[in-house]
Amino acid sequence: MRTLGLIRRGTPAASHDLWTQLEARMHAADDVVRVALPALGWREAAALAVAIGTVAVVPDPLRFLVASGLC
Amino acid sequence: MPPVPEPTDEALLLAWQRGDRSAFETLFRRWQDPLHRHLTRMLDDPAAADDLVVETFLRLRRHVARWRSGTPLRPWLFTIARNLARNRMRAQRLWGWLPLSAVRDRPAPSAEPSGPDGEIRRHVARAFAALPPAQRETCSLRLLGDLSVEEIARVTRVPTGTVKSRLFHGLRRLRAELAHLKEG
Repeated sequence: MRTLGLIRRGTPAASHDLWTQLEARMHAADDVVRVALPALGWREAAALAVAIGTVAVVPDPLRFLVASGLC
Repeated sequence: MPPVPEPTDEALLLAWQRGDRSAFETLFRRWQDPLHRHLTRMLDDPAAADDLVVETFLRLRRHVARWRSGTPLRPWLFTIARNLARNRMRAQRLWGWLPLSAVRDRPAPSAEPSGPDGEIRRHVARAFAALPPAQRETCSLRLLGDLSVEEIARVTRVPTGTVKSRLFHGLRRLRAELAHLKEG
């Protein structure tokens, strides 16, 4: 027997059909809701920086927001 | 009437992208055995190979938008499988340091057939395990995955000359290791 024939005979294929396993995993994956955040542009980054800066700098952020009419 | 040629992998992938769900199943059934055999030789664990064949196609499905029409699918498929196998082996090495996991996660001995088939399996497994990892991977991709030298070069990211050299030395060692079976 040639080497290739021996190697193939000695390396069995999957013992059962894997398609059903894959189908089940695909259905499970379809049920998962993936939350994707939009890419951050410079406007979003600036807004985020202002928000974080406000919270960090202003002594009472909640009162500040109420006073500014934002909350 | 001449026989109708089988659709190529790329045609099946395109058909699937256009909504033909059976094309994905055809693609899976075409490649599950070569992938399984290759992964079995890489991991020396048929049960882990089962998992990774399924995981390979899940990744393909998730990232299919990255595939550009006109590029061959086969090297991409085996590259996904390769990355998954490397991650698995890395994780096994890491967990192997923990004494409890070594006992708990040791794979159960697989049900090897007795008789000549079982003996051939044991010898082939031993012959592949004795090869250096790069030669083992190259020979497995060629003999069990049916990839060309150029495709193997793409999957393993080495020049074709290196692939040919690994194949030459790997096959020579495999022939020597299995010579007594050929004579018997």
